[in-house]
Amino acid sequence: MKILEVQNLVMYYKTLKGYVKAVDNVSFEVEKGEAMGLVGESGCGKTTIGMSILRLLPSNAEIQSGEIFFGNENLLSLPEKEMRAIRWKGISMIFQAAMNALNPVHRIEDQIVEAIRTHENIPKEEARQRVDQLYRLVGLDPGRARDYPHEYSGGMKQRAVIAMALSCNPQIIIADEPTTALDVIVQDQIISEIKKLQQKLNMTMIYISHDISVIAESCERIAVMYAGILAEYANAVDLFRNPMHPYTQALMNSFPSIKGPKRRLIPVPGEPPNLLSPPSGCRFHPRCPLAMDICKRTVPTFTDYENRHWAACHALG
Amino acid sequence: MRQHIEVKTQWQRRKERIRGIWGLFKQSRVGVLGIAILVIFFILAIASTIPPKIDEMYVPLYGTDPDIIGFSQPSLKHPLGTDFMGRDLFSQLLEGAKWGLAVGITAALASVIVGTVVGLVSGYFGGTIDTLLQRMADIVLTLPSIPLILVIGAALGRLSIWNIVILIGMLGWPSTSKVIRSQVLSLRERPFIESARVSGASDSRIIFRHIAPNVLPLSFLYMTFGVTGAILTEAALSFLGLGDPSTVSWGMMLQWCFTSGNTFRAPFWLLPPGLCITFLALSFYLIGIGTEQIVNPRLRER
Amino acid sequence: MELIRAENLRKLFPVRGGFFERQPRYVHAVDDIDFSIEKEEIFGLAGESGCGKTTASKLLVRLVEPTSGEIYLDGQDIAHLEGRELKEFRKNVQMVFQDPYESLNPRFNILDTIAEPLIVQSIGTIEEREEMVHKALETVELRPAEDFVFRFPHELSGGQRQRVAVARALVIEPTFIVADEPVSMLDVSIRAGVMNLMLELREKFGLTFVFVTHDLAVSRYMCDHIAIMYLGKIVEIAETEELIGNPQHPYTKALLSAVPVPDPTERRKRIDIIGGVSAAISPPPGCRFAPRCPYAMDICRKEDPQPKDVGGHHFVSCYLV
Repeated sequence: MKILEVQNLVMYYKTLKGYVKAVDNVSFEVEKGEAMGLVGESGCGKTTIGMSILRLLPSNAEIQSGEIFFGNENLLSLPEKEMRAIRWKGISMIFQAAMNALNPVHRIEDQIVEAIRTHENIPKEEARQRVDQLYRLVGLDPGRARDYPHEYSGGMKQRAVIAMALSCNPQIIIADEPTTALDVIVQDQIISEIKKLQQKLNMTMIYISHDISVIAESCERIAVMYAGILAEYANAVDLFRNPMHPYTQALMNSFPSIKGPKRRLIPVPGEPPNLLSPPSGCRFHPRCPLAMDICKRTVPTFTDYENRHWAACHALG
Repeated sequence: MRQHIEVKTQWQRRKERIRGIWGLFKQSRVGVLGIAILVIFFILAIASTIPPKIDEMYVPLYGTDPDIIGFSQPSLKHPLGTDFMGRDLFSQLLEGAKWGLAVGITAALASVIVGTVVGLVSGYFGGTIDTLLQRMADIVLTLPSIPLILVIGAALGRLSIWNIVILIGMLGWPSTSKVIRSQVLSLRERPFIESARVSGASDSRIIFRHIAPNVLPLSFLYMTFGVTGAILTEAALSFLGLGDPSTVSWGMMLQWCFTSGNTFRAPFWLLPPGLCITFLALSFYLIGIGTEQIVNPRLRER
Repeated sequence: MELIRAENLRKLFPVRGGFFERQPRYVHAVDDIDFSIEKEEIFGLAGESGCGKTTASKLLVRLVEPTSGEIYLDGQDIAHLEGRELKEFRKNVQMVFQDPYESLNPRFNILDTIAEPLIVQSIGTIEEREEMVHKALETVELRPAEDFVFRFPHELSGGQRQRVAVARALVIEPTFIVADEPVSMLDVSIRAGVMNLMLELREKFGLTFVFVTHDLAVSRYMCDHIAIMYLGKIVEIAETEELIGNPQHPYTKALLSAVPVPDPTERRKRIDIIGGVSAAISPPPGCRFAPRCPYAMDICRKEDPQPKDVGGHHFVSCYLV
């Protein structure tokens, strides 16, 4: 059952130098209970998509066209009041550098209680009890809920932020780089925690990251973004076994791994494009080993090749 | 996939950069207004050389009109009239522009140079040197400037205009030094400074070659505000009678007007210098505001 | 052939206590470590944040003064050099930093940036220096060099800036280069390029590298030997494939098991340890890892384990082996 459907989303940022074409005609759908990963390098638009779903974009962001369907409603056409009702309750978010999202002068419990009571009209005591449950859920000691953020370690703060995101029992959680700035061991614990929670609560997850290893391990479906376009979208296993888009292939070849035979990494030539004036046609063509004439002229269509394996590339025919 | 890259020369790049900065500055309308006013005063200052060439009676300090004795109303010969000694007020006004600019800019330059160097040394070395210099700065900051100048003036007998410039400069450096110091404190931990150290750069090289260029925009900003302060301080001193009577500044004009009892009788004598002081000081302040919006985001720029 | 040796290297940073602190407290950033680096090898210092790897790397370039211990470069003691000798020593070593945005002076153009080590060390005339800068730019594949020399850092991308940093490190023809997380802040598709560049430089110029990173996958790709650090101590050193395939120290095992693998079919066996590294302030006696170690014994809490060779120069500091 589809729970989220993004259709032909086009989003630009207005700057002094012109429009930054951050998201250009992106379409994908997410099934209920699925863990979907959105992977790409910095500036590819993945965070923008996450923010677009929640309509938490900065003032210079302009949605040019497209729809985002949550259930049957188009989030982009909802009045702000109704959107506010959906935020946190329907869809919630774990922000990048989330540990900095905690207000240092308030107790953590108070912050979560406030988040809950902003969206649900329940008495304080009930909210506090929910915090208790949430803490147990994310593996934190409920006795420490009254502490201040600086008394927590990085990993603990991250768990607190996850608890906050779960506090109103959302249907979808968007996690935007939830483990950057965390050490390897803590990162691993948090990721497995998130995975456990997702399975236990049958939640839908959209996991945004630049780290393809983390995405590979946590997500069932993976969408690869490049410079504002969706290059490929497939089941995790299919994507790794048979990457179709040249960018995906290039990405796979440029990641070192701790397992498997040691092989020479092949860097992707060139630089990610300037989105003020992105390349014509397929945005990857200046760096693509398979680039043909048509790639410079026409934007390839995002096509389902088989078994929900989508890709946008002229070379695939 | 090879693109034809047009290689730009260093000179072309410099021109581009200057054009870029000017474009950024132009966005601040107050900044441009400030520059416009300043240009007018520059023209006035340059024009101050003209009247004496026309006729000797227009020489600001000594020139008197043989036909007029003392104070007179504006006329064709004297657009602002004459003062109590029969001297042309308009040429005094032009002369005042010259001195206003000279004193303002020199005094501010002095205080900013001292303040920047102190800030650089203080911020970079820290420890005892920092404590010493900052305590000195605090002492100077708490000194009441005008009474102090009064005392020094009494001790020296008289104050020449250059004494005044030095005094204003020596009283103005602490505020610049504190701001520069805090900039340096954050800069000195940056990796590009560590890189310089790894290469073997000495402390003085790091301070003056690596750190200084990064604080200079801020120094320039403080200089524009410093000029405002210097102009106003000199005017105040002259008005109070502590100025240099052998230079014709706007403050002196106000002083002569006041002490000769013409304050309420001669608006054409009183108002022009007062307005000029206000507007010249304002122009630098506006330029400062225009500069600030370039300097501040740049400091945070990646 | 050994190029660098560190013996009993220690660096303590004083912690400013309150007014009523009786005894000064110290952060044991680097606590009595030994290692040896061969010529033309890429030596990895790996570990999580706070383990001391960055401090150790800064000690090697004398950006930070050792509290005690010895460092030898080609047999010469460099830990106690001062003045002119220290400056001479600096011709032999250069550093590449983590943040490509912060490691270049924003007011210097690329020519000034790369020429700086040459100027400071009084090498060459102005023309000769310009020539050397051009050559360095070509070596790091920033072509054409003429196009880059007058640019400013903000006009370059992260990957390009990092290459400039490498060019700056190269231009003085050092014996070894210390790279502190040089690719962590670069985009994924750019990292491979910079990493391969460093590997090529080692081949072409016979450079020795010390490569500091928290990313073990990167460490595995780049390094010949890896030293795993924890709270200021080296817990294990071995040849890369030996360390990855046959880790002995419980911390190494836990660390390796926590590294995500880009393969959705891989089922990792996660070794659970209590999370969270404690600060290295006035550590209690015994093994630093004891508080989190699932196998800690009594002796682990009493005395610091010394490194033991378990075969093939694979050193482990643990009582379990």
